[in-house]
Order: sequence, then C-alpha cells, then structure tokens
Amino acid sequence: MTISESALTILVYVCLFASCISPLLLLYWLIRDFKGKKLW
Amino acid sequence: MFSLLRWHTMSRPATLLMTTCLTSLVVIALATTAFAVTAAENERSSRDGTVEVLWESGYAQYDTLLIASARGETVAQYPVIEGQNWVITGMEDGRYQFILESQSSSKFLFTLGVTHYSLSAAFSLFVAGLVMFLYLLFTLIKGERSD
Amino acid sequence: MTDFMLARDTALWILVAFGVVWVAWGWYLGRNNRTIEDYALAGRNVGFAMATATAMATWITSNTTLVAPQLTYQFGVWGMLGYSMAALGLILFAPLAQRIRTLLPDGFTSGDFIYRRYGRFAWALFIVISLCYAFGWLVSLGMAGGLLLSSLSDLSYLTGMTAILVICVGYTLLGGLKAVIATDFVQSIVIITGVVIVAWVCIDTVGFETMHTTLTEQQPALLDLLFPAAIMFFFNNVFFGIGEIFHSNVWWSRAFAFAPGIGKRSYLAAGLLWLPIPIVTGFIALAATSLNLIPPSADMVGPMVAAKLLGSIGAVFIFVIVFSALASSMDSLLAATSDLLTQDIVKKLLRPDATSDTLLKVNRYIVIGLGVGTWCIAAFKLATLGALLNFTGAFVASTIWPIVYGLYQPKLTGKWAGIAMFAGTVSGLVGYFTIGFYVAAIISCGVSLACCRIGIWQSKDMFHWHKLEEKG
Repeated sequence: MTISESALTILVYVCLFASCISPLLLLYWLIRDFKGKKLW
Repeated sequence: MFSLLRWHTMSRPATLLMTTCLTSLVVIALATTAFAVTAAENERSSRDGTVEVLWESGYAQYDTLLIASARGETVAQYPVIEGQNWVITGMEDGRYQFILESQSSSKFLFTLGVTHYSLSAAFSLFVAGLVMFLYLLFTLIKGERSD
Repeated sequence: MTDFMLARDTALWILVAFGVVWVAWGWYLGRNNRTIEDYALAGRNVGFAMATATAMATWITSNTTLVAPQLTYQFGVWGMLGYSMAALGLILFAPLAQRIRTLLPDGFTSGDFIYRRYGRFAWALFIVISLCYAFGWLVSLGMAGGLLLSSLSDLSYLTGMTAILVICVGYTLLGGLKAVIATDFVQSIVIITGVVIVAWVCIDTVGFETMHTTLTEQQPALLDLLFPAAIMFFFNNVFFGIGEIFHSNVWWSRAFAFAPGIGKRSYLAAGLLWLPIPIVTGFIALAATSLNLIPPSADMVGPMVAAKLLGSIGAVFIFVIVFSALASSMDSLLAATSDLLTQDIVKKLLRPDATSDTLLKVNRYIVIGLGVGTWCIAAFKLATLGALLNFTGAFVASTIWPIVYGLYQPKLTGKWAGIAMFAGTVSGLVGYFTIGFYVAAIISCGVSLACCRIGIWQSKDMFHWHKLEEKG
C-alpha cells in the first residue's frame, strides 16, 4: 500500500505550517509572560 | 558506603533469582556475539531492504554502482565516490545484483536477497504495543479522574 | 562529505561567539542564585513560555536532526511518523507533571519521589537505571558533538567535542537551571527556524513529484505504508520515548521548577509543538536519491541533503542548528544529572545534614565532574556507546508502570515496583540480544506491567499520599 504523492504532500505541508507557527507562538507567550511579570 | 545504605533485606530465593537472571544475561550476550553468522562473501540477505556496501581500495577505477533486479533490469544507480561507503535502503522483496561499472569494465560485487519480515509478525507486535499503549492511556485518564 | 565543509576558522569563530555569549548570559542569570532551589529549580516559578520552550528544546536533540532523517531513509514514511510519536512522551507526562507538583511541593528529583513512595530497594534500582541512561545519553551527546562538528568543518573530533562540553558546562555551572532554560528558549527558535528553511528549500528545489517518482522507481519500500520492519519498530519506539521521559530527572526537575499549574499546560503544548518537527526534519531524506546523493552512513543523510540544498551557506546553517540541538540537551542533562547525584547520593546517603550552601557548592562541583567524566569517555570514541543507548530502551521502559502506579495506585508496594523494574530490564535485555533491538522496550514494559499487576492484586497495603510530604 503506497502513500500517494498528494497524501505525502499534505502531510509534509501540514507539519511545515505547524512548525512555522511554533516559534511565533513561543515568542507571543514570552511577551505575554514578560508583560505579566510571570517569566519566572 | 554500603553499610550506610541499610538495604531492604531480600529473601534468599529473590537474591538467587536475580543472580541467575544476571548470569544468564551475560551468557546469552556472549553466546550471541560468539556465534554471529557471517554470510558468504557474494551472497547477502536483508530483512528490511537495507544494505551497506563498504568501500574497498580496488573500487576507485569504477564510476557507478549499479543495482540490477534478477531479470537484469536496472533498479538504481549511484555514483562512486572515493573512500566512501554506500548505504542503500528502501528495496522491496526480491533478488538484486550489485555491480560496479566503468566505461570499459564491470565488477560483480554480490547478490542481495531481500525478504521483508512477515506482515503478520509485524502486526502482532504492533497490536501488542497498541493494546499496552491504550491501557496506559486508560490508566492515566482513570488516575486523573479519581484525583 | 568534503563538498560542504566549513573552514576551520569559520567554525571556530561560530563556536567562540556562541561560547562567549552563552557563558556571559549564564553568569548574568546566575548572579542572583542564592540557594540550591534557585540554582537547581530556578526558584520553582518558571512561567509558561519558558517552560514550554525548554521542554521542546530539550527533547529536540541531535537525534531529531540526525536520526529522524536516518529513520526516514531506512523506513520511509513510517520512519518519520514513528519518530514523531516520541512527542507522546511529553504529552503523556503532562498530567504526571501536575500530579508530581501537587504530591511533592518540596521535591527536587525523580529519586525523591521513588524513595518516599517505594523505599530504598526500589529507589536503588531506579537510581541505577537513571544514572545508566543519563551517562549513556551524556556521553553519546559529547561524541555526537565531536563527530558532527568535525564532519561539518575542518575541526578535529577532539576540538568539537571539547568546545561543546566546555560551553555547556560553563553556562550551566554559572547560571544553573535558569541559564539552561533561557538558552533553551533561544535554541528552540534557532532550531525550528533552521529546519523549516531547509524543508522549504527542499520542496522548492526537488518537489514532491520528483521525489515520489524517484522513490517509486529506486526505493519503493520507503513509500510503503505496510513496511513490515517499520511497523514492528513502531510501538517499541513509542515505549522507549515514554520511558525516557517518565523516568528521567531532566523532566521531573522541570516539573518541580515550573510554577504551580504550569506543568500540565506547558508539557502538553511542548508535545504538540514538537510532534511535526521529526516529519519536517525527516522528510528531506526522501530527496536524497533525487539529488543523486548516497550517504556513507545512514545517520549522515540529513546533513548531506541539507548541505546539497543550501550550498556553502548550508554548512553554517547546519552547524548552528546541530550545535543548538546538542547544547539544548546537554545543558539539561548536566543540570538534571548533577541534581540527582547531589540530592539522591550526596544528601540522602553521605551528608543528610548538608545545608543549602553546601549542596549548592557540591552541585557545582558535580557539574564540572560530569563534564570532565564525559570528556574522558567520549575522547576514546567507543563505538559501542551508540549501541549502549539503544538498549537503554530495556532499562527505561521498565520504569513506566512503577512510576504511573506510584503516582495513582496506592496499592503497589516498593518490593513489587523494584521487582517490576528489575524483571522488565532483564527480560528487555534478553529480548534485545536474542530477538532484536526492536522488541527490547516493548518486552521490558510488558513484563514490568505484569509484575506491577501481580503486586497490586496481592497487595494488602495502602500508601497514604501525605507521606510524600514528609522529608525522607
């Protein structure tokens, strides 16, 4: 049962998109914690 | 320092059991390495479609590593790079011939027989793991709920 | 490998720059560390952002950048999906992190819990398992540092290995867990950004159509969703990953360090954010054949493809990504292992009356000692250590059920938890040598579960959770 080209494409693109979001999310949470004086 | 530990006292049978287990382990480890089977030089086998071809000094005169199926069709070809091994992966079940080629000559290296593990064995292990994993999830959820 | 080497001077400058900045930052963060809790647990008040980033960065090791492509190159789609499942370790640890913080508000290490919950017998076995794994991982990271930095540049193995150890020991020593966490944050951003760029360039240069066509002709098994070996290994890897996280003080110390209520959310977020990364780092291995690349060893396929795609800039990229991945794990290991040795060996066994100042001093000496010890072993470049890390799967998977039942099931006693860990480890190792490495963790976990269930079934004891708050 071979994975189709489109399935492989979708899998990788979804993961790539999620990975693009994660640094932005981390920075957003950092700024939020910093403003709320909850960094550590 | 051992006197500081105040070991929990174990019963004799338990100590004996553990010693036996450890000794058997060492014996098995030694036996496995001592009786490692070496394949004949020109006949190899693989259970997962992977093979490593080690570089030898006589290979420098060739340009390409060719992989041919049993019917003689070329499956893949890879460049020869001085001093560098090859790791070939992703081969399906079948018999393959590994041949080094240059414009003027060729050298037969070996025949590789690929027989993947049986799907039933693979799925049995998969299902066993899945069941244990689901039980772990169940235990964690149950534990959280009764918290 | 010579077509993407960084010049020696460039590599050295990058290392020196990282070293100076990280060590200076470590000193700055550590200047207010007064007590052992400040040093080892960052004051027990780490916020969500830092908590999530450190959990992510620590779990992105050199393996994520090297082994994910390697497994994809060997087992195809299942290889990268299987590696991705290591995120389950972080995700499933989320409720445990909360429970740990609730049950042991003054705890320091995983050993603290096992000792108070199960007693000395189980604790001793657990410490042996923990230290075997910790040293194995630490030395393999040191070796990986030397091997990778020397293969990507003109630096020698010893120079690369020494540099990474000196830098990590330096800022961990000066700054403690705060330095580890702060550098982890930056390193996580660097790693993720780097791997995303490499992936985008791969798609742009090669494309899915070419990849799929080439693979269908030359490596068809890599696209096979019924690849038997990969299916076999799948849950073994899952339990290996879960065992690594559930038992290791790297994760327990964070559970103690995070502010109340943060642990569960941050481990969950970290796990979910980590999940796609092995697929992003791994899939580039599928482009190797399309780029006419053949790796000399399977673990070099990732760096080779990235370097081919990015050219000379690529070498700098990979160097920085790999350095960040190595450092973010090595610093955590140094900190957590020194905590374990300080609290569980020095304080519990040798100096029970030691003050916070003494423990702080001892902890720092141990960090240095671990660095020196790692260097000595890694300098011999013992090839078998890679294999050693493989069969730690049998060790760590045996601890999963004792820990889970320890936290939630009051009927399991120390004797049976100890038997479960021992029997699990032994049977896992037997499976490793007689059948193959792909059954070690699963057998270990299964036998350990059976022992725990027997222990619970025949138990007439009931552990009272408030006892965990009594100091041992």
